[in-house]
Amino acid sequence: MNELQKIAIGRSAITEPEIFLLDEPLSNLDAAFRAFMRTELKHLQHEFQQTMVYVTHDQIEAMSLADRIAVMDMGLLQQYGTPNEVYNKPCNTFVANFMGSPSMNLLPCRLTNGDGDPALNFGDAGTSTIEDGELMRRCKLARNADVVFGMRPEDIEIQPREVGRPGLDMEVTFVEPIGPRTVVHLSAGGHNIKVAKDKQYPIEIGAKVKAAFPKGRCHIFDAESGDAIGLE
Amino acid sequence: MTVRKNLEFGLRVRGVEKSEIARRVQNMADLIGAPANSV
Repeated sequence: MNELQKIAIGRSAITEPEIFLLDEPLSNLDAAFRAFMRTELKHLQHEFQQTMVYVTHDQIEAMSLADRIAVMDMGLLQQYGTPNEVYNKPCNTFVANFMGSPSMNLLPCRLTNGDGDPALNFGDAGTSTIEDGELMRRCKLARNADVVFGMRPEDIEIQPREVGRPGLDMEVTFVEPIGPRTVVHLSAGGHNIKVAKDKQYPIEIGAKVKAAFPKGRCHIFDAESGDAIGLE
Repeated sequence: MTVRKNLEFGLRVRGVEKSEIARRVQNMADLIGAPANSV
């Protein structure tokens, strides 16, 4: 299969087209072959020095192969940018959810301004203050509004509850050791999140912890439209 | 069908010269790491 795929690409490349259109070329390969062919394709593209338009549902293929990603949903362009931009500055909840595995935690909450500064009210899960200057700036654009708070699993820190940092008190409900990483599932007041930690991360189901939100890693979206608020 | 026959198809239908076809097929076979005479 591997050889046939390469020959198929060679058969197209030999006529030196100005552009290649590859429509899910690896979707019928098994996982191991797909990873191998992904590297091969990147290598071939580098050799050919020709533009490839590559259609895929696999966000890892998109991230690893592309110079620029166009994220589509139902035929509509959602975002166009480098893998880095699309991953780190998603323009709406669709892009945020689509890129990354495990996907970004998206928590519906309400922006409230208690003593003047906005805070995030997660209902039964409690309220989190905001210390992040950039997030504060963005939140001030949408006071007292229903929003969706987003945070990537690898960006959340697990801390003792005594630590007075922005975040939520949560309980460990499930631990998945997936080899290179441990995915820790946390729950509180009807909100569930996933946190990606190092392999063999020492934690027990039932542990009461704080899910801390570090500065510069938070995302905030309009609850109705799903669009990022105040994205620069 | 050999790798060569596969690779040269596009060039043959375009009427590219035989020596040019041979050269480009060999280059492409080297590039993708498949011997041109293999099946």
